Amino acid sequence: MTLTSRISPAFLASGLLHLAVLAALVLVRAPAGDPAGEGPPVAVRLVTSGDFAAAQADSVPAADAASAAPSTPVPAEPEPAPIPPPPAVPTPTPPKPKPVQKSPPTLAPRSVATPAAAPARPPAPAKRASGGLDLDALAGQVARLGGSRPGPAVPAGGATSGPSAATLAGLQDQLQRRWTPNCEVEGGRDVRVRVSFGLSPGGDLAGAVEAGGLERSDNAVVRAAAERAIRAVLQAAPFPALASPAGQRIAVNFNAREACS
Amino acid sequence: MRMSAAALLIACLVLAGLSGVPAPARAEIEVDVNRGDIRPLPLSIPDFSGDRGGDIARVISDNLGRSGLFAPIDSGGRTAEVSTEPDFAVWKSLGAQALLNGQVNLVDGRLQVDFRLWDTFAGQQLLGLQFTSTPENWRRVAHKISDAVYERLTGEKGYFDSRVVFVSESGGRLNRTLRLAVMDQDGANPSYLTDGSEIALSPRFSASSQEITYMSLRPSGSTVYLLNLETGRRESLGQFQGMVFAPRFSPDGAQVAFAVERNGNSDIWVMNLVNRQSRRLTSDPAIDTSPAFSPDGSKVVFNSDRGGSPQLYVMDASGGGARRISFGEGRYTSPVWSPNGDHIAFTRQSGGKFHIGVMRPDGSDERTLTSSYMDEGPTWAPNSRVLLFSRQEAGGEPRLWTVDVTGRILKPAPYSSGASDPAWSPLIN
Repeated sequence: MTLTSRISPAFLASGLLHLAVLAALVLVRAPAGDPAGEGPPVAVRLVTSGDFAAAQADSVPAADAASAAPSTPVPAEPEPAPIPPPPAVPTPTPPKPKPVQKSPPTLAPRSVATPAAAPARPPAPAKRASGGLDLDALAGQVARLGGSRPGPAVPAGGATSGPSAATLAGLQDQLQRRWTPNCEVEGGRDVRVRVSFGLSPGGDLAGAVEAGGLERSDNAVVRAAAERAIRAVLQAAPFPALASPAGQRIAVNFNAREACS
Repeated sequence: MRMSAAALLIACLVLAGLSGVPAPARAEIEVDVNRGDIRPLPLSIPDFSGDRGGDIARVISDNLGRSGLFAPIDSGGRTAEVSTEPDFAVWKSLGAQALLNGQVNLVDGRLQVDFRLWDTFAGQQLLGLQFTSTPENWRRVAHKISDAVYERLTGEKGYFDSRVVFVSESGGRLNRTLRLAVMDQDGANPSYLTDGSEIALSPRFSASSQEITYMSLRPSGSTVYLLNLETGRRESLGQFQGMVFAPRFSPDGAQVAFAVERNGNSDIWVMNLVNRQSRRLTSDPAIDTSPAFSPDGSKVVFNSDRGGSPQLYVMDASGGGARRISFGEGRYTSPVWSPNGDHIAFTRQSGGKFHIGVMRPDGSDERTLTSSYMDEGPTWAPNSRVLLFSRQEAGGEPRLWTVDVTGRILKPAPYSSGASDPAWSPLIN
């Protein structure tokens, strides 16, 4: 048995067929197969590549000029950079005490009990004074709150007597009607602000209303959230229903996640 | 004698301790507030003093009001001099939590605008700045002030000093004219960029806001152009074998991605604008189109029907590694990455309606924001909070609408003519 006698015509035909298929695959693949990374980088055939040079030489191609020139207005361009960086120039200092600060203002103590600090300000509007708590109404509100709401009153420090649940529910209600959480802003609903403040024996704010330093945060969203929570307390004050001979310390947790959900 | 008094005091303290009587202490009461007033924040913006003062205050008020986050209060003709501390009681009685006052002066032919933002309940200045510009640029000053106020009261960057390029549509169905147009984000200063002799489609801004790319369609074929808004100079990317469409700049402005259709197959390509070399990013028998870069330029989102129906895919900006991110019902098209990278907005067609939606870049947290007969072509505001898109009712004309990323604040855009395919610019520097 010779070598030639072992190679059958069928085997030869099969080999040729495989070769033909391989060749066909290569040939068919080539025109469409210009993926990135294979061959030269210019894969799109630019029929009028000369336009680029012309365009880059600051001349509009003739066809473009014809269509654009007569009725294509150059867009009204706002002054490129006429406005200096915002923080560069503070507004002139007004005659009243320190309303203008170059650096971001720090929150001044908001003391209703020390009106001398703001001599120019008129007395608190009568509307606020009339906003005292009606215990009957508050009792109704408590009933309306239902059982799903967290208990409003958590006297800390082991005090055995303090404001009633109705009074504290009223405080809670006052605050949530005046608190505008920053729900729509990215990250605004993730901020939990704890605002603490003191009350005078008469229920007025005594000393600063603070958010544990969040009102001075470098994070603008956190700072805005803290300011909104503080503003809710300032807006809701005074709290005559919480009047107590020894005064009172209050801490309010403003939970944006729950409020925004 | 002094010793005996001290001993007496100690004895009293010991007795008090032994008797278990707590020392009197002022306890701190803790309250949780889990609900709030979700309405827009009320603020007053009385007319600024000086020429153009009323106009500037009005533009600011309109901007902030349109955002849906603020409720400007009519000041009833009251004014507030910027040189003195406001009478906060007056503004508090109106319900304003914040007050913006200002004055306009012309100094050496330049417009100088001073303004202050006040917290009326804290009686405290939140912001005090001065802008100067040329007098005719007063609207832009108003937009700058709007951005400053927005950021100070929300903590988030504003988006008012920006522009929108879009396709202006006019005429009847048989003689429709599609022209490229640009306007301020509040609809002011509209102007046409093309004359209607060709169909202009899919305009997109570069990161500098000074250049746009768009597709022009003529009977002879399609062309992608770069148009410089400052000089008015227009140049073609060249003519391609096949139809080229859906161009979009890379974040650094150095590349333009687009789709090329040949023989019924569409793939995504990218051209380097420096050396004018093009590369093919996808090579799939399916229709791949609508590429959009991620803000860091590392990824490209596009839509493809390689899975049987148009869905969204994300791949590396160099091509390859494509993975599907949309799996909801219907057909997903026109994806666009938010400037902060957190979301991808898209058009989805299902149930006989078109919807604008958003999802995370990994496909999670998909939300539908709008639905109508035809909502399509979303584009992001520079701060990634607001989307602009076109809405068309049955038999009606397409109009521009805005929706915030929560889907709660849906409003017609302040441009009342036929318009589609909007693209929002970055903040103008």
